[in-house]
Amino acid sequence: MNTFDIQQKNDSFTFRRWWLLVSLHWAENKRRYLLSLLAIAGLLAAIFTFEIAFIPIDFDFGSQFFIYYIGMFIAGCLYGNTVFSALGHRRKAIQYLTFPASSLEKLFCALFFGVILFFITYVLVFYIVDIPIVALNNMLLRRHGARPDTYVKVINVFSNLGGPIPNNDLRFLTMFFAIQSAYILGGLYFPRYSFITTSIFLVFFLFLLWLFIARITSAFLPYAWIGNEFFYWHSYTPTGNWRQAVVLPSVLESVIRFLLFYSWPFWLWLVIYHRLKEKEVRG
Amino acid sequence: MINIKNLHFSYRHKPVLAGLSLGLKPGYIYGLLGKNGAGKSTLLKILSGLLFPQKGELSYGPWRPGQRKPSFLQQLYLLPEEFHVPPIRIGEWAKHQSPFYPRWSQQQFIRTLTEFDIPPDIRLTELSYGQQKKALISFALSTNTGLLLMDEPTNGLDIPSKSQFRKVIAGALDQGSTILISTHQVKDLENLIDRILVLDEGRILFDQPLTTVSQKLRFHQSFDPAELASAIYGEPSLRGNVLVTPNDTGEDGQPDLEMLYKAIIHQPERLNAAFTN
Repeated sequence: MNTFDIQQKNDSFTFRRWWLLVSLHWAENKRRYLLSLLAIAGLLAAIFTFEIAFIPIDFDFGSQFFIYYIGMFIAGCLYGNTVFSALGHRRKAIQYLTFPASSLEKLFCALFFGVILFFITYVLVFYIVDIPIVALNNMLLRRHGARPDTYVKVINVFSNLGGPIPNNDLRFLTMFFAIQSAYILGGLYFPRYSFITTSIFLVFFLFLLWLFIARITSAFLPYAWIGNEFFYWHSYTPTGNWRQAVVLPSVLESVIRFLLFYSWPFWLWLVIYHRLKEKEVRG
Repeated sequence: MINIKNLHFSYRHKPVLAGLSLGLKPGYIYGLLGKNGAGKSTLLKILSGLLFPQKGELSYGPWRPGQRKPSFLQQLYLLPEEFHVPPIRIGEWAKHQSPFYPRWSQQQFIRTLTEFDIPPDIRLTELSYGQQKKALISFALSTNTGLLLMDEPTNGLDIPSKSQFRKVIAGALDQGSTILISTHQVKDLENLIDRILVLDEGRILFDQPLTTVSQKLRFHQSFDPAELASAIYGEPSLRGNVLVTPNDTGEDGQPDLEMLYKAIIHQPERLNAAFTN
């Protein structure tokens, strides 16, 4: 067969090649992933046990809520930051970049493990630890003669109903995916000390965002106008009533809200894709 | 066919390749030689799409390596000098990697592993550096890619393994493949390469088939001072002077690659003159 006859028509994405890449990635990393899941489960169990052993009265919906989200943010961002760590090591980078799959397939493989599979397994591990802990906590409460209405229920992490910050639009979850994607991108940009460097950049970015909202937009408005989020600004009479208001059209507000809450990960993935395509191995 | 025209590449402000032009044909094994920092590894990285040329043209058939299209990468295997191996068994590793290479031969892989005396059921991380390299060489050859690039492939191999290496490479070449071997260990390429390329100061200083070298040059020892004076290159040894001279005998000789390399580096004009006559 001639070398050039076997050129495949689709150089962007084929499901078969992507699945082969996923299988290869799993074969090479399964031990590390399984050990990491065990470590997460162990840490969650240790924190929960500490909570019910020393401050059982405080173990409630809120505890589950905070442990779930703090654990997810820390583990997810730490792991996300390592998704492209191979590209920070010359030996691994050579093999990764010359491997016969497209940048899109490599990106989707990384997102499959780093975002989708991480999230699913984290939720599973959380419940595997949380459900027995809640049962144990309720058993202890029963032994101490607590009223049944004080028993703790297992949190539904997909609604957060009953949590300290009830939030049906899953704002924390979308925030998690955005921040985790920023850490994945950081891992690609900063080969050394990438977690710390990404954190510094994120803080700097948030500072710039605050500066934009608090200082720059207000500079365009007359004196004593107050902004609320991005969407409306108003001024007060001396008696505290609204005098004037500038409100963005509701359609525009909906679009901006949607983009702010849901689009960050996609933009960041797009940047990751282009960064992957332009990545070189120097030195 | 790989075509390189007027290729330029610099690391920051340090030029490495400066107007390099070269053609590599299928069916040949090329030996790429050069001093440290001459740009051999940089050239291999550019050929494999790991670095992007800053100026000039580079193509391999319908592909531009820098685009790193899967159809191109399926036709390329780069065996770097330093490599990473995952902690899995050789057989499992090959099972997962091989589907990406359309001309993969499992039989060839097992045969080459056997020739190198590497058991396929052992974890890659449990092997020594030299054994890992032999496993990678076996894999690289079994992919049967159109372009096989090897950077210092004999580094870390013991003496018997080096001759095994020459044997398996020579047996693996087919008419559709190009093999480019970059090395400092000139002796390791003897009786293996078809063509020698010498890179110096970012350009190809010498590019000739070894058959032509055999016709044009003679490598011999002599005590005759007159012969030393007229030689293209010579250096003293325990048994007289080792000389590179124009071949006036009309008989093909056996090229001494190490002496040839020294002659190219130290007397490039005189040497190239022998090929233009």
